[in-house]
Amino acid sequence: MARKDLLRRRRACDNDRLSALPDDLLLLILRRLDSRTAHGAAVLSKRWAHLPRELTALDLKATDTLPQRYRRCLLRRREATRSLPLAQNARKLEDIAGRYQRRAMRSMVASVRSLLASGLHRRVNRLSLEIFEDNTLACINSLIVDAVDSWGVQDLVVVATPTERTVNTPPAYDFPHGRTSRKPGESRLQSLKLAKCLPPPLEGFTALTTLVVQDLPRSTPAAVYRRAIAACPQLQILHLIRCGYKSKAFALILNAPMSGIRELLVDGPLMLVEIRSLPKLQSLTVLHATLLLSSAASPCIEHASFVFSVDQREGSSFRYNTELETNSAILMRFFQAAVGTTDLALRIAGPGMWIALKNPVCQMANVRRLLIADVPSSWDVSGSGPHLLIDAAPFLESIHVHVPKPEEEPCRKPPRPPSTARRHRHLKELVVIGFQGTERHLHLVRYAVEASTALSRVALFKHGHVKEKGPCGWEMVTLRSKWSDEEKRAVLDRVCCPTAQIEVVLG
Amino acid sequence: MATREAGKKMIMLKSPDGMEFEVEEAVAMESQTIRKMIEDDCADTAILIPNINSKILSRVIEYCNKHVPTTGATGAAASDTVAPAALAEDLKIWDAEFIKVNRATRFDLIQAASYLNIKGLLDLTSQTTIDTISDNSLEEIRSFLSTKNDYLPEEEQTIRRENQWAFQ
Repeated sequence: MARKDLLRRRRACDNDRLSALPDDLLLLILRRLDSRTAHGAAVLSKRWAHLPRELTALDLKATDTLPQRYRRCLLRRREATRSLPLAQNARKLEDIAGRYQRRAMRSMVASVRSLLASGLHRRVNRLSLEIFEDNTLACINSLIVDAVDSWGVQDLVVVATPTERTVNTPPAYDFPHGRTSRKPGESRLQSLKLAKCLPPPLEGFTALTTLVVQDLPRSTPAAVYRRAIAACPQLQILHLIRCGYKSKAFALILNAPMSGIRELLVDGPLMLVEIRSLPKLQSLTVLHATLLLSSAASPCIEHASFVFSVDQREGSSFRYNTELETNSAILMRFFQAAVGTTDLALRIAGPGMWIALKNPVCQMANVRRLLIADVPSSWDVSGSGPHLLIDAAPFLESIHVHVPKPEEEPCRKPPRPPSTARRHRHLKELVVIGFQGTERHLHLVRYAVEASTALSRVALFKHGHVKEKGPCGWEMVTLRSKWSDEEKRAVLDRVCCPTAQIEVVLG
Repeated sequence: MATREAGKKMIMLKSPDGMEFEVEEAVAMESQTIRKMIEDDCADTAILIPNINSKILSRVIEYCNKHVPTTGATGAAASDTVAPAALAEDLKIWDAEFIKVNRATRFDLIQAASYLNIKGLLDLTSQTTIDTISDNSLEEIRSFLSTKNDYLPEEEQTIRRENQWAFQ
C-alpha cells in the first residue's frame, strides 16, 4: 500500500515538470498569456504565487470581465436600432449595456487597486488600460497616477473603447485632474499612447519621447495638439492617427521651432496637416492624409513615405481627376520643400491611379532609394510611367517597383517611347515585383539598362505583394516562382545589353 | 570534432549520457548558444551539452535540421525575400507533428530550447503548452499539470484578492 502511494506520488512529481522549470521559463510562458489569465495562474500553487508579480507588462481591459450576455445584449440592441417598432427596446437595452459597462469598470478599478495594494516592489514597464468612453469613473485617473508613479511605468496606453451609443457620441476622455503623474520629473514615462482620450498636460515629463494620439473627435481644438508638442520639446516621435481638430485655418498647423520631433506619422483621409516648422524632422510618413510642407520647415527630412488612395467611382471622373491633380501637386510641393530626402516610398492605391509628373522633372534631387508600390499596370509609357522617376532622381541608386496583379495587357500596343533615356550615373539596382514580361514591363527594364551606366543588378519577380508593417507603413515581399527556360530566354534576350555587366535575377 | 565532409563543416555534439551526434555546422548554429561557442572558437573538439539527454538532444537536432534555412539558392537581398508561402505551410505542419509528444518530453524540450537558445523551438513548445492550458478551469489545469493546491484556505483567499481581476 505504502509503496503504491509512493509510486503515485513519484509519478505526480514526474508529471508536474512544468512547475519544476525555472522561474524565467515559467515567466516566458506566462508572458504569452493575456495578463488576466496569467494572474489567475498565481492561485495554482505556492510555486506560482509570486510569478505574476514579476510580469512587467500589464494589459487590463474592462471588456475582459464582461459576460457573454453583454455581447448578446449589444447584438440585440444593434438589431433593435435598425427597425422602428423595436426602437423602444433599443433604449432599454442600451441602459442594460450601460449597467454592464459600469459594473465592468468598477471591477477593473477594484482589481487595479488590489494589484497596487499588494505588489509593493513591482515594476511594470508597460501598462495598457482599456476603459469605456462614457463610463469613465473619476477614480480611473487617480489610479493611473498611482500606477505610473509606483510601478515606474515606461509605456502607458489608455484606450477609451466606444460604447456604440445611439444618441450623442460622448466627447473624448479627458483626464479629470489633468495629470498622469504626481512627480512628472521623476516619472519614467517614455511612451504615451492615447485612443479617444485627450492628452493630459505633459509639462515636466522629461523622459517622454513618444506620443501617439488617435481617434480624437472633430470637436478637439487644434490647441490641444499644439500644447502637447510645446510641452515636450524632447519629444522624438509623434503619431497622429485619424485625429479630428477644430481650426480656423482648415489645416492642422504644426509650427514648433523648438521641437525635437524626428519622426512624424499622419494617418487618416480626413486629416490635412501643414508643417510650418519641425526643424529636426527626419522621417515622415503620410498615410491617406494630406500633408503640406512649407519650404525650409523641416530641412533634415531623409525618409519619406506616402500612401495615397483615391476611389474611382463611376461617373465621378471629375472628382477623381481633381484628386489626382491634388496628389501630384502635394508631391511636387513636398519635393521642392524637402530637397534632402534620400529614401522615398510611394504607394498609390486606387484603380488607374498614377501621379503625373510634370516634365521636366529633375526634382527628387537627392533621392537614392525609391520604393513604388501598386503601380497600375496600364501606365503610359510616354507620359507617366515609373521609368520617368528614374529621370527625376539623378542620384537614384536603387528602385523597387511593384505592379499588382491581375495584369491585363491592354489590346492597344503601348506607343514606342519618344526618345531614349538620359544618361544616369548612379542607378545600381532595379527590382520589379509582379513582373509579367509584358511590353510595358520589358520597356521599363530596358529603359533602366540603357539609361544607367552603373546598373549592376536587375531582379524580376513574378510574384510578390505589399505587406503592412507596423504603424509606419509597408514593405515589399517577393515570392519565388518557377521560370521556364523559354521565359527566361525571352526576357534575357530583350533586356540584356551584351556590353554591360549586369546580374539578372529571375525569381 | 570539427571535420569536413562533402564541403560542409561538421560539429560534434555530446550529450551527458555519452552519445555523440555529428551535425552540420549550419544546423548546430540554429542554436544561438552553440553559435556563440563556434564564433568564439570554443568548438574545436566536441561540444558537451549539459542537462540535455541524448533522447531530447536528438529531437532538438531533428528540429534544427528541418528549420535550417536552405542557402545558396538565391542571390536576392535578404530584405526583400522570404521563404515561399508553401514552404512555410509545410514547416507548420511538420512542427505540429513534431510537437505531438508527451508532456514530460515537451517540458524537457522547453528547457533544452531555452538553454540552447533556439527561438523557434522555444516559441513552439511554450505556445503548445499555453494552447493546452488556456480555456480550462483552474482545477483542470491543476490536474493537467498534476499540481497540488498547497495553499491554506486563508492564503488562497489573500492570493485571490491580490489577483481578483482574474476571477471576476
